[in-house]
Amino acid sequence: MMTRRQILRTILQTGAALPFVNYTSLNHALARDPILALSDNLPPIEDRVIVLLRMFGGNDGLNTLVPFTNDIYYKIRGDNPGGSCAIAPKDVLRISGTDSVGFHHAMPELRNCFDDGKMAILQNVGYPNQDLSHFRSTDIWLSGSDADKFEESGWMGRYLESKYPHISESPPLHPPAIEFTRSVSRLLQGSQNQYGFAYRGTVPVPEKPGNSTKATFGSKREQDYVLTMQNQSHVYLKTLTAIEENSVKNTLQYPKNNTVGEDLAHVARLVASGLESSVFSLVTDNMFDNHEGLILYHDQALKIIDSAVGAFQQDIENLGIADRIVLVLYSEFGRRLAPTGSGTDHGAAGPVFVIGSNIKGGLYGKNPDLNNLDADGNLRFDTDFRQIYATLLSSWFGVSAEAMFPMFLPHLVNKISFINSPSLSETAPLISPNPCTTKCTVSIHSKEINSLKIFSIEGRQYEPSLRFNQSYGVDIDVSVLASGAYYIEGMSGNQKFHGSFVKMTQ
Amino acid sequence: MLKAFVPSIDHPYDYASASHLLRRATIAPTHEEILQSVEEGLSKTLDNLFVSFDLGDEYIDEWSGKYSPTYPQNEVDYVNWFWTNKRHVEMFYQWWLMNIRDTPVSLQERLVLFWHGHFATDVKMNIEVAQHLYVQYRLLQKMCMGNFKAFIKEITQNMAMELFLSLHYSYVHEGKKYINENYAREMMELHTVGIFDENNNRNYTQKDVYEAARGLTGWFSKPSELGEEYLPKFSRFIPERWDDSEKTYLGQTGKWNTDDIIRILFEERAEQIAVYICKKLYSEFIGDEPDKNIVHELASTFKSNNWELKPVLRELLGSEAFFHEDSRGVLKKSRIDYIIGMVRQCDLQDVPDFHKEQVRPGDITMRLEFWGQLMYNPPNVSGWKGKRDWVNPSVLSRRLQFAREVVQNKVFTISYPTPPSIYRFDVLKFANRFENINNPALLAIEFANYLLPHTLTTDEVLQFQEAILDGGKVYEWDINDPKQRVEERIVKCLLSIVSHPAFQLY
Repeated sequence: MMTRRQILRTILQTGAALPFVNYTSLNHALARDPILALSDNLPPIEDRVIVLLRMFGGNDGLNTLVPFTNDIYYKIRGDNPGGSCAIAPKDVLRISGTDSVGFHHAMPELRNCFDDGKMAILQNVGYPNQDLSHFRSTDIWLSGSDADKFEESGWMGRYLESKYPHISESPPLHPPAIEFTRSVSRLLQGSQNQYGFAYRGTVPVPEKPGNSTKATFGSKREQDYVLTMQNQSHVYLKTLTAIEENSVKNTLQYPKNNTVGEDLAHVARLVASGLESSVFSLVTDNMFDNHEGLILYHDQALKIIDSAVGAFQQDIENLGIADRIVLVLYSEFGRRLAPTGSGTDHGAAGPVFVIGSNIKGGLYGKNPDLNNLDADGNLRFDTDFRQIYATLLSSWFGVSAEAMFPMFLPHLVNKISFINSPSLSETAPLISPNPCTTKCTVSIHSKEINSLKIFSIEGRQYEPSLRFNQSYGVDIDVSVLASGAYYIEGMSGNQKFHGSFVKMTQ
Repeated sequence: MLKAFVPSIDHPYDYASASHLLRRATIAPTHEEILQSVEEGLSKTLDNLFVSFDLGDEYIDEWSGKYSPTYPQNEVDYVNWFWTNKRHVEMFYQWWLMNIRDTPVSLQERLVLFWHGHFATDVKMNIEVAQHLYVQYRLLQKMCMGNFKAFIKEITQNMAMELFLSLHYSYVHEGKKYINENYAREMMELHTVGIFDENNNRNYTQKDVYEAARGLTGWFSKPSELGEEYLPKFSRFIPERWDDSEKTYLGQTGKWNTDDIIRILFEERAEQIAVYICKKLYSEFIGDEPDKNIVHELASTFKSNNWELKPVLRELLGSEAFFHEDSRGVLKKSRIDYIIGMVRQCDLQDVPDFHKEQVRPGDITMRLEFWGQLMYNPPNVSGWKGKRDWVNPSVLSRRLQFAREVVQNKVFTISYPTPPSIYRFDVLKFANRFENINNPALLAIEFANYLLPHTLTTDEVLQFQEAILDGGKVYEWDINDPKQRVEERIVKCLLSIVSHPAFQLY
């Protein structure tokens, strides 16, 4: 088990400081963030793995987690001239703790995961101004950008960039991330380099290439790129080949003719055999874009996912690596409530499933509100997908805020605690209301607060008016602050504490 | 107008320029084609590039262009049909590859591949009948350098496209509308204008997608209903299936049909369409990062010529920017370029794909499937990522291995059963095509200039010469003296050339 010192070192090693930011205090504040405190029941941070499984095409959330007591669902989906697109209550697998939603009948394995407390279901996940294009929305999910911003790098790429700042000259022996695709996606693109290795089938180890010329234009620049790729390929494939040759075996039979299952079986073998990659990314075929034949094709698609993920979870438990792995099941958008013909069109919010032994199982968020659709008839979101990313990065990978800087900081404030991290330390302040508009109050277990500093996410210190109130803590007048996320650092006795809040416009 | 490249004493239309033009505009020119182009000069070569070729259907005429029945209903017939069709699809791919190999100097097959990526359709999604693939390919051949607006009209009525993007499932029936936005969205997002303009303003709203989808209704062609009339060439417009009510599309209001929707799109978003397409052409022919001024020059040519592609392509390929030293050798060879390139450039024999009688699947098609560029198998509906992704690390190592095996006559086949010899490379016949067959030092330079796209450095020349000399002296070289191990030394030189990073580029 890692010591607290090691953790701190890991945290401080991540992230190259950005210019013009006062990191000394912010860094310090974040390093002491209680979310990063160690828990005895979690594996060391450098052993932890995230498996991202993307259901490409736009998964129909309403037919995955079915609101089987909702009349509107049956009226609109069921009473459809192109054939019913609803899942009848008798075909819904009930789950513990709720009488209003349940799994599609093709998903018994995931239902069991949920009932065993190994799955967090995050309902109505999306982002503001949902884009209905597969590609644009995929880009948004992979980069973590706002819908109206264009970001070439991916959220995992930026995280891995902070972990491996010198990857182009000296790639680590183990690829930082693996994608079971034929090309590396935006997910693993950093600002300069890519951090993923597209790995599919047996690949020959290429010769170690010569040195690059460090050219900045023309053919030589592209030749350098080829050399860099060849070098990465050489290093990674040597490691992978050695690991494959001495690979442990899967402990059970994965479903046949199921490429998702084959890929997950491969992940299990690689992790159990000592590959140190911390991110594995899988994408399904375009089997979720059910414009037609929803009932038939969606059933098949969910079966593929369910049987594969179910086998994977059992296998990694048997292999003794389950406590190191978190699997995230997501899609670029959900689908609309009202069918078109025999299928459904591109929509907005949908559920995200997070599975693992260290997951705090349960339903997070309200059931979809079918009475309150947006102007185009789409489900509204209430959890931003980046709140999930923020949780995974901070609570699972122990990332300091810089690696999420600046895109995820506001979401870090609203992260959702679906990982079994320890309870907050006693010095964590209570900030309410949060988000706030004109003022908020900071208190700390009825203890006295001696001083308080406020930083913007850019690291700039603010000095709004503070009213120290011995019994209730400190009232802050936030009306002068621009909307956004803020960090606070304070002293209570000789104990420092840290917290954060979001200022919203009225 | 872009500044034209005018050959001069300082910048002649020489072997290097001619091979640059032909590598970009055609697929893997042979030594002889390059020499002939130098002889004929730039202007005549440009004329030649716009000649179309039809090499005939002989290879596949047992089924091509003929009536294609609907799937047999009973199971036995279906199984027979399934395997026959599978073979036809395989033959179709091979026939396509033969067209690439055998078409004389022309832009045609380069552009067909370009448009195939642009209008990506997937054989796995509703169009598994070989006839559909054939018909769409013929359409791409016919329109590849024609009028782009007419191209959009034709592709909208192409059966494969309509089936793939659900256009047949967007219709009116008994007064009720079943509007499917799939085709309307991709027509705008991927085929014509893109979601955003150059300043990241949206080119259309979700409402426009819906209104366009309503205008595009009415297309249908279910074989069983059309009987003998059915040919998978065009679908039919069935007025009762068309939504005849008023639509407001991109600001114009009326009872629009398919022709109107396309007309309005090209009227209201002319500038954006011109820029979107010219950017893509720039990336295809000049370099990964489009130069804004050049794109605008091309776009204005495109518009003023009423969407004719020839003037744009001629201006682009004849421009100074195209021939600039910094533009040479910067594009990454696609996987088809790479494999067919070796077949053409090294005149490889016994390629399994090009023997009709054989029962086993082709080797190039299997390789393309494995490397991720089999035709009609795009990674998704937006086509292939291309650019640097063509040489991502895992494919790069396969590419390097293939080239090394070819020049050593040791191709490890991934198809089965293993034939005695495939991709047979006649080393001496190859070497005899070059002027300096009797001078190894000069011969090495000739090889490198033929196979590599950039201006060689002194170090590179020495490296290739060292490989061919292999410790021997220039004056000792005798092509007929077995003691000189000429063949072995040529292979050594070629190995060194194909292992050079520039061999991945063109």
